[in-house]
Amino acid sequence: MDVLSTLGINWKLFLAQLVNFSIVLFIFWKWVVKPLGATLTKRTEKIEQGLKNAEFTELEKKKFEEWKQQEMKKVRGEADHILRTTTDTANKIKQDTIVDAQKQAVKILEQSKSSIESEKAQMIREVKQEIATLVVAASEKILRGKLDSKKDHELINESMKGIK
Amino acid sequence: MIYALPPLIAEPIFHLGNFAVTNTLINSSLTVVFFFIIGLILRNKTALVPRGIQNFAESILEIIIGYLDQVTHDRKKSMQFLPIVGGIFLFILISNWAGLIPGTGSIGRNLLVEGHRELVPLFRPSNTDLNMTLAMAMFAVVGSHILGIMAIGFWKYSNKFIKLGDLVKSFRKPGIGIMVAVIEFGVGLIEVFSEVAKMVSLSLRLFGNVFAGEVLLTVLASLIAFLVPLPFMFLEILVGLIQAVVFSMLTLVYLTMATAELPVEAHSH
Repeated sequence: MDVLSTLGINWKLFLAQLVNFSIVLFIFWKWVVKPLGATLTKRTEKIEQGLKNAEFTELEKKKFEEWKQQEMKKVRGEADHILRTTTDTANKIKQDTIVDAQKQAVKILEQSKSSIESEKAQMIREVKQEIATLVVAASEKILRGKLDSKKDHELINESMKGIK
Repeated sequence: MIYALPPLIAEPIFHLGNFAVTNTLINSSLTVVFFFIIGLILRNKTALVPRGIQNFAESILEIIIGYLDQVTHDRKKSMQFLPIVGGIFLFILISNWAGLIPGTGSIGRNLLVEGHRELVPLFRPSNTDLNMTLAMAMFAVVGSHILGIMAIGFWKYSNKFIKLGDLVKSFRKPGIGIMVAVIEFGVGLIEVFSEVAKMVSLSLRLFGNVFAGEVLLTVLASLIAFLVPLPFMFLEILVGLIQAVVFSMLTLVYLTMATAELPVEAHSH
């Protein structure tokens, strides 16, 4: 114990210094390390989270870009297909219409032709009748006095033959 | 004239009842006040975007944590040791550097010492008192034992020193293993003494360095008062930093070793 007192070791002072030191440690732990340590950890976590988020967003963007490209290609293909089908259909419809119209025209032409033909025949028939009547009337007028009815008929028939 | 060399033992300045308040105790109390003020300022500074003093404190903490990580290789352990190791480091550093502030050693009271009237300095670096350094060393070593027990359990931890478990195990499987176990039991007992040696070496190293610096500065100042002591004062700034680093690093090593799991011993298989 003599050595200790030579070096100045004194339990009261020792305890006092220990208390002082403990107070410093406590303050450092409670007021500095705890809040600042938590802040440091929180900040690190936040930065890490931010970086991860950025990476994730970048990846998502890339994926979306790829998807977009693919989708665009698909849509373009579809559009091309639709356009092609539409053109084809339109062409076909056009063709059909033309053919139809031609057919219709021919039909109409034929119909008109036949109707003209029949009308013509009718007209000729009617004209013939008219002429016959006229001839009869004229012949009657001319031959009224000179001919009897028998001669009349012969004359009419002869003239009719001539018309035919 | 040669100034009075600082005695080995801190001088009492006044008495509080039965208790003699020494100049080193005044200094360490002032350090406590300093930490109290800094702590009060930093207490609520937890902004995610730091500025000013928070930024400064954070940068210091980060440097310390960096060193801790190098030794522990484990951020969780580092954060656990930070209050002890960082606190020891900053306390020693601040008290050592406070000893260089003008007034330390020169402002004093005229007291009767061994029959003579003598100027007794009011302030004396707190680490020039073996009570202080021994208190810190004991705190560090005892703290490392407590943390060690908390980390790996009482029985496993005590088996580091008193290897009764290994001795009993070796008797179940007779052979050369018994000899090894007996020797290791002896080594374990030596370990117990080495724990005491740790405290002595930690406290005496710090005390010796800081006290020697104080004596050196006093002698130089009494020889040539101007300019010549300056380089030595710079040296003291360095010594103060180095001793703080050494003390806290050794504490960190003790803490890390105490909380490490025991290696699986070869002869038990």
